[in-house]
Amino acid sequence: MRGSIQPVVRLVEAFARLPGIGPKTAQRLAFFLVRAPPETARELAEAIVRMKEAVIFCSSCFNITAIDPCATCTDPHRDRSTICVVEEPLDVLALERTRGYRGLYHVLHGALSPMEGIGPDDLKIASLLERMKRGDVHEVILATNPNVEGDTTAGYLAQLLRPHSVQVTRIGRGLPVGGDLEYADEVTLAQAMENRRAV
Amino acid sequence: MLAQRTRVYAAEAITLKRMDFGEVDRIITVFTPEHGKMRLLAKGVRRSTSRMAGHLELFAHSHVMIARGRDLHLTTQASTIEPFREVREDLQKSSYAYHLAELVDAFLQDWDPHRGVFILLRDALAALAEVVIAADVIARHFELHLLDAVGFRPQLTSCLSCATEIRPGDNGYSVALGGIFCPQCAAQEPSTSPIADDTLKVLRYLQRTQSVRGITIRTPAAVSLDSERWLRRHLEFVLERRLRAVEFVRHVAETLNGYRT
Ligand SMILES: [Zn+2]
Ligand SMILES: [Zn+2]
Repeated sequence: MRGSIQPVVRLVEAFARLPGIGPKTAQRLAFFLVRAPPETARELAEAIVRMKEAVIFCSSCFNITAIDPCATCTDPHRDRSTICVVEEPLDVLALERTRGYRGLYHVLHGALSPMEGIGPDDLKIASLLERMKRGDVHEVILATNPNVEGDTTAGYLAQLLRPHSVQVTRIGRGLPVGGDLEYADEVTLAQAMENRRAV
Repeated sequence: MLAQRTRVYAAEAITLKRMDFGEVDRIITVFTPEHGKMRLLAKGVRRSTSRMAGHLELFAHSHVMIARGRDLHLTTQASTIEPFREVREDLQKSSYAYHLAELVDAFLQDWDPHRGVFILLRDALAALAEVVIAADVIARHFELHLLDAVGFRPQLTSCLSCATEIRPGDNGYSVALGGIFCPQCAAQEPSTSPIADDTLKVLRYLQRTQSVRGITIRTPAAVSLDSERWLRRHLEFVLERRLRAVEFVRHVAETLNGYRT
């Protein structure tokens, strides 16, 4: 790519900053738009700008919402004594699809990642502790991802929540539906055994 | 290198770090004894039914099958040798494990094989998993021996300038020059700062104790803190950048001690 296509270079760089997109994919996306009709590019650009204008974060649970506080936080039918802590807004969507949970949420917007320098101050942790001070919370469910970073985040939160008189639980874990016992790693298998129950 | 000729090959690996890639994949940085550090594309490991995901968790020691790809190498199979579950599930131990992984990632180049460092890392993780030796002492031992392995062994026994044997007294440590100066030479060398005898004693002990399992000392808190500070300065000087995970080690230590930041 040479100097005359500077706008394309700029777009490639913008795409390459998005999560999960490497330089090759960024180039592919940019050149797709170079060849696409002008409407395609305009629609995409408008959708991005609209989204940024319309979507805000709930000042209580930090989920994405159009109004603040969000519909979940103001829903009178939800159990205000339970808060489920998740890493991302998409995790709220996944849990809501189960229809099994009627409490509130708290979105951290990430997990602790010490090697990348993502520490407690980079996540919505202080605001979670703030919510504890209101006193009507009885249980905090730590539903961060079941991997090492998620465990680190949960372990750290559990430690911070200790002085507050709330019950702190970690989502259960074990073998996935559709999984295969013989391919399960030792830790998953051990946890599945520990979390067994009578049938 | 053998790895360049065969299309699929087996390796022992310890997972150092991971990055989400695409919809369901991850790029995992692993450290292997024969081929050094490498980045592998692990397809589908973010699905909950992935057969590989659990075996490629951070800090896990596993067998992996590696296939040469066009851009990136791929893992095609993985099975755990030792998951170091006690490390993963303990906040303090895992905070130190992040630090060890960050150091290996920072000090070693891709495809630079180093069996000694692999064993050092494996043994340090194993020691963390047990409860015999304090986590910070394991980390200091690891740091000293890692510096040694990559060619930056701190000179702690004789003066860097006049080569006389170091005795207790007003010795100085120079991070920039990589070691100790006797009281007379330290006075002439502006890059030195005074180092406490107890700290120097601990550093020397850890440096001459080859295996982490051989450690039998316990250090008072003040000496631990001072050793940590010296080695951190030394590591950051050599790397020319700030270490990140040490901040988290500190956060965790503060919360466990009941402080609030
Ligand atoms: Zn809300
Ligand atoms: Zn001297």
